[in-house]
This record gives sequence, structure tokens and C-alpha cells, in this order.
Amino acid sequence: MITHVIRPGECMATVAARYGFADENAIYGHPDNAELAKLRPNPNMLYPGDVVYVPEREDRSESIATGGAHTFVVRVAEKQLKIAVHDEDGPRAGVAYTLVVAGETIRGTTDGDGKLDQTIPAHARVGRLTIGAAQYEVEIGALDPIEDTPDDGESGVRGRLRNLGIELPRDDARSLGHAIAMFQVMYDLPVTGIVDAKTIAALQNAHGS
Amino acid sequence: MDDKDPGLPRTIAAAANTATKLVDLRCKCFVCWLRGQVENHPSTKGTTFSDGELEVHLVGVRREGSFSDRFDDFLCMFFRPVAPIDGDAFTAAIEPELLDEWRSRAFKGAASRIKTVPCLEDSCIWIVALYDTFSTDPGLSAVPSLDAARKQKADADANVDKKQLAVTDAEAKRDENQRLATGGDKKAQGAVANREKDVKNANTALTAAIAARVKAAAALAKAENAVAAIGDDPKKGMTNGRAVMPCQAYPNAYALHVHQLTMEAGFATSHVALKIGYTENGYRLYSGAYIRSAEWATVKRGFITEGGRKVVGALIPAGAAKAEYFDGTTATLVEPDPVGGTTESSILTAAGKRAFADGDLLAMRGTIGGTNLHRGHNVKRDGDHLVSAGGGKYVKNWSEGCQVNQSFESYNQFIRVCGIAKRFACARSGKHRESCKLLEAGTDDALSPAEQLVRIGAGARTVRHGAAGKQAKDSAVYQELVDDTAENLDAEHDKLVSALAQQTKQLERALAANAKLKHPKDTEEVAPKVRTEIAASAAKIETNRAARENVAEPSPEAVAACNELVRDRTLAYATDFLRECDLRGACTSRFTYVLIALPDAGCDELVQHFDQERNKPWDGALVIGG
Repeated sequence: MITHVIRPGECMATVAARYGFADENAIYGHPDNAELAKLRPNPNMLYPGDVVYVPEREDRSESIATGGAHTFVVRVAEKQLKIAVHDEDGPRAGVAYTLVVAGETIRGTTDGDGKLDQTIPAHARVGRLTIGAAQYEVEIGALDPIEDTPDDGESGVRGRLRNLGIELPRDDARSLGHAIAMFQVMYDLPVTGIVDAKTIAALQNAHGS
Repeated sequence: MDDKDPGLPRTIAAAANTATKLVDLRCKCFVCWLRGQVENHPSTKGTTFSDGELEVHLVGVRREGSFSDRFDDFLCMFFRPVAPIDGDAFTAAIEPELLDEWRSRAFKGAASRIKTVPCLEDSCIWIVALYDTFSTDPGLSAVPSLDAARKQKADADANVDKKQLAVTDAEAKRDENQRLATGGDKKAQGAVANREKDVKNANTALTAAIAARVKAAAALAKAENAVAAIGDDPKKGMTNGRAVMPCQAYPNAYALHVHQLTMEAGFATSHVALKIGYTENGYRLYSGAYIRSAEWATVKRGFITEGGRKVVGALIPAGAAKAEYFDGTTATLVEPDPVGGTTESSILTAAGKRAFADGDLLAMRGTIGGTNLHRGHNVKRDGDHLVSAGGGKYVKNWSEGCQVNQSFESYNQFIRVCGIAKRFACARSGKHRESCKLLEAGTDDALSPAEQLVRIGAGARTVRHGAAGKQAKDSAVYQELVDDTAENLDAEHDKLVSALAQQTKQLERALAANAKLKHPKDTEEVAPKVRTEIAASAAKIETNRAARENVAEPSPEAVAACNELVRDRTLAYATDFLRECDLRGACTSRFTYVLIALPDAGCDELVQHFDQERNKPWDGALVIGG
């Protein structure tokens, strides 16, 4: 059993890929990780410092005849990148995009809801998404959870706000207070400037996760 | 949306196998729109707005081409509220009574004029006020009060009727007395002369009342004509040479101060204002007809020159809805040159010479002193707070060159925000000092330190004359208060003592320099001219002192009248939350004011942006969630 401490940008898919597991559930669903699974219901939204127990891999044996050619199919670990692209007029439906990830260029078009849903290698941690002239550096696995984190969900809130177009000029409590107040005004919440339960629920609802 | 300019990619965070919403919004909020207008205006291009908490930004919006006496412009105020993390610092910086007044009166009085505006550009909320009862214009002329003129006429009519009745009554009494006298009534016979006198007096009073009615009718006609004329064309009410602030940014130029530390009756008692001391970059308005008809030498003297050229800031063609601004370029007034064949003055711009008509207005570059953002109405004290003492439809004549708010409620809201912002900035800067405390009136006969400041600020003479205004004109106290003799001697004494001190220092310096010489002179020979001057000053002081001794000390009644007035004013200023540092001019907090002009369509757009649904009502909390 290996003890792996999650680093920024890592999620269960990258951990699985790193240790040679095609299926992240082989790790996440392991009984030794039951506590972690309870704390982090989404295996791809872990917090730096979370501890993952990586079980030993089971060797697989195959009997084959000598003197011939044999084909082995290895299942490559993959994950999905699901992004809904909006602007002030709503979803950006039917817009061509290019996603460069793990050295591959993927082209596509957003669906009627402005969504793109691409299969990418599990180990990929960064992608470059281009929609029209707009470019985005996508840090895959870098979205932190909000609940039960040592920073009281601040990094998770900041990440979601940034995705929703609310960029914080500085990484301090004052800037966060102002940004939260703005979000609360935009979503008709009581304006407190504090990350309270109502605000978290509204933020997760607006962001989709 | 239009795709963003490719450049640095925007970084977003996503979770695998999880829905992530990516929103790309371009901010269309009121503040971003307004900043765009400031950037687009040639005179204010490049103006920056800070983003600190409670840093108040003031943008005046002049209705383009409308230099008028009307409150037809706008004042926009915007600021960030304080983040929760700074709540304690805020509470510590502001007097509780000021915060109480803010919550209970100042904010509530004009709550509908101030909103919460979410801004994606700055990732914050701005608190934005739009006051549409504002004038950025000079108060072009004294417009008579139509209501007052009507009342005066009605009173005069009633008085004539009353006097007419008095004549009829006197005549009836005289006739009755005559009848009795003819019948042999001795008492009536003795009263004949008196009854005739009564009739004569009643007729004299009637004649005076009729004359007053004629005068009142003329005043009413004049007022009606003036109002009608200005209604048709504001420029008709213009007085040549009136000051007006040009469209530009005035960074850190305005200080919170008493509007005028006056004690004289009749002048504005509008208390606290944002004040600018002096600017050389003002405008003075003149009609084309004035410029044409004035002697060139006169014209030349009156205007500010740059490199010997008289600068024209703007031209407002007669009947045009839009002013033509020359800021950022060079436009100068050109002298007529009969020899060269030019008999008319003209404006020289980069595009060449252009003529102007009699009905055009020219904004010539000139100096303006002591101009303010202030109330367009007087106020009076009602216990511990101020109430409006009335205003009018037009900018008062004493508001020349000022930025004026007609609404008592919205001005209170605006000026309280400024007062609170100044305190917060002061506390944060660490410049808080002993004098940063509210004015406090005394409770006994002696003036409190704050009252003494008010007295010094206004000047002894102003106080005496103000106090005299409250006395009966034929009283001894009145006479004493308007008599300046003692005051003049005191002022002369101060001047002489100051001169003597200077001369003494001069002598000391000369003696010190002499002492360092290799071959110093005898001390008595050093600086003979200065010694003569010192002797003369000392003699004058003695003469003055002797004269002063022969002038009676002010009577207790005169002192009491002055102190009463000073106390009354101090209490009034205290209700406006002025601090001692405001009176001393010691406060270093300054406000930036930016003035732009927009056409009518732009003004409509301004209002539309403010009224957008995305802007929400504000609860008045200066600390977010507070």
C-alpha cells in the first residue's frame, strides 16, 4: 500500500494514471479510502494535502502459446472534460473550438447548450482551449472542493468565481469579500460579503459543480 | 459576444468528469460606462479612478451647450463599500453620532438616488449615486423670485384696500363730527381739526400704498419677463464675465470645509461643502456681442494668456445644443487688425480662423477663486439636525463658478459620504491628530476652543457686524458693534508687532554674521538701517497703545451679542459634523472631481444605465454586510 498525498492540480484520475490503474475506482473505491470518499464525494475534486491509499496492483497472468503473434489490448485511463461556455447572451451554442491537450489537438463544436464534452487522457493536467479568438488555459483537476477544507473553502470559491467571470485582483480576504458581495448582488442573495451556506449553494448551482 | 482580443489566455480551473461553467462577460455596468465617457472626453482622457474602499469618486455631467441657471446637470458619486475584514477599522474611525445620523436621516432621505452596482471589471460592487438636481453652471444672473413678487403684489393690493377703507372710515367720522359740531356739540366742535387731520393722514397712507402697489406691479412684471426670457434661452440671463468650471479632472483638489465662515445675515448659510481654493484654469463666459463691443484693451486685461495669447476654452454657438470644446488643442482670440483688413475679432484654431456671432457664448480661460460643490439652498438648525431653509428653481447668484445641488436630501447624502470617507482615509493614513474632533459649543459664558476657532475663522469684524445685524438699529449695542475703531487699532497693533519681530530677527542675523567676521564691527555699528526701523516700529506701537487705551473696552452686551452669534454658528456647523481640523484647514484629505459634458442623448443614456435592473437598491451599509 502506497500513501499518496494530493498535490495541487491532482485528482483521482491523475493518481490512478500515475500508479498504472486504468480505473480510478480501483483506488477511490478501496476500503482504505472509505474515509476519503466520505469527505470528498467527487473523486476528481480533491484538496491538496488529502491522503490517498494506493493499493498494490494485482499482476495479471495470461497463458499463451509460443511461436505465434498475440495481441494484447491495454485499457488506457481516460477522463472527460465537460465545459459549458456562456457569455452575457447565454450559452455559446454551435461555436467551433480547438482543445490542445497532452500533445493532441481536438476540434469540435459546442452543442445547443454551449457545452463541450471531450475524452482526454487521464494524466492530462493542462489544456489550451480556443473558442474563436478567445483562449483559455484549462487547469484540469485544479478546481478545489468548498466543503471540509482547511481554507474554509476559499480556494474552491475563488476558482468557481473565476470560471464565472469574476476575477479577483488580489489573493486576499478583502478582494474575496468584495467579489462575494458582487456575486450576492448578481444572484439576489443577502449581501454579507461572507461565504455563507446560501452563497455556497448559489455558487455551486451557478457553476454546475 | 465579440471574442476577446487574443493575448494572455484566461486561466480557468476544471474538475475531470465534472460539469464546469465558463462564463465570459464583458462588464456593462454604470461605472464602466461612466469611466468610458470620461476617457472619451478630450479634456478628461487618461483620468484614473482608484479602487480603494470608501475612496469617493465624483463625476459632474454637464448638459452639453447648456450654460444655464437651471439644475439640469448631474452629479455621479461612486465608491466601494468597506470589506467585512475592515469593519472594525471603519467603526473605530467614525464618530458614532455621525453614523447614527447617516442611518437615520442622511441615507434614508435620498435612498432612491443611490444603488448597488455589480462590476465584473473590478470584481466588486460599487455604490453609485446619481443626483439629477445638480448644476455645474455658474448661476448666470440673479433671477427674481416670481413667487415673492406675486406675494408682494398681493400684499400691496390688500394694503391699498385696507387704506381705502381707512380713508372712508376717517371721512365718515369727520362728517359725523361736523354734523354734531354744527348742532352745537362743544366736544365735537373741539375735535374738528383732529378729524380733518385723520382724513389727511389716511389719504397720505392710501397714496403711499398705491405707490407701493405700482412698484410691486412693476417688480412682478420684471420677474415674469425675466423668468420667461430665461425659460426661452438661458443665455439671455447671462452676465458677462461669470465664472464656470471647465470640463476637466481636478485631482485631489477639493477639501471638506465650511462653505463660507460668514456671520452676515443674507448670505448663504449652507455650511459644509467641498471647496477648491483657486484655479487658473477656469472659464469666464462672455457673449460674442460683448467681445465685439468691448474695448480691446479691456478684453485683453481680463483674460488669461498663454504665450501672450488669450485662450478660448469653448464656443457655444447661439441656439446650438452642443458646445465646441477646444481643450487639448489651441484656440485663441485674435485681435482685430484694421490695418490688415480685419475689423472683427475671431477665434484662431488649428483649422484656421473662425468668426463668431453676437449671440454665441465664448468661454475664455480665466481664474476662479473659492469655488465649491455646495448646497443650492440655505439651511437652518432644528435642534440637533439641519433642515432646509428653502431654495429655488434657479441657481443662486452667489454660486458663481460652483457645482450646486438643489436637493436638501441628496446633498446631505452626498456630503455625509464625503465626511465619512475623509475620516476613514484619515484613520488609515495615520495622520489623525488632536484637532480631528467634532466642533463642540461651550456651555457657559466663555467661548469653547471650537467656538474660538469659528470666531477666528470668520474674523472679529465679521462677527461684530453679524451680531449687529441682530440688534435694533437705534440701540447703543448696534452702534458699538458697527464701530470698528478699537478693532482697527488692534489690527494695527498686531501688524506692528509682527513687523518688529521680523526686524529684530534681521538684526540678530546681522549681529551673528558680524561676530563671525575676522574683524567685526562694533556691535552698535551693525545694521544701522534696521536699527532705525526697529526704533520706528517700537515708537508706533507705543503711540498705538496709547490710542487704544483711550478707546473703551467692548461693553458686556456687545461681547455677549458676539459670543451668542458665534455659539449659534458653532452649533449649526456641529450639526453638519464639521471637525476642528476642517476649520483649521489642517485636514489633508482631498477629493477628486471630474467634470465632463454630454449631449442630451448621453444624459438620457446616463439615466438609463443607472436605472438598469441589474442595479439593486442599497441598504446604506457602508461596510458590506454591516
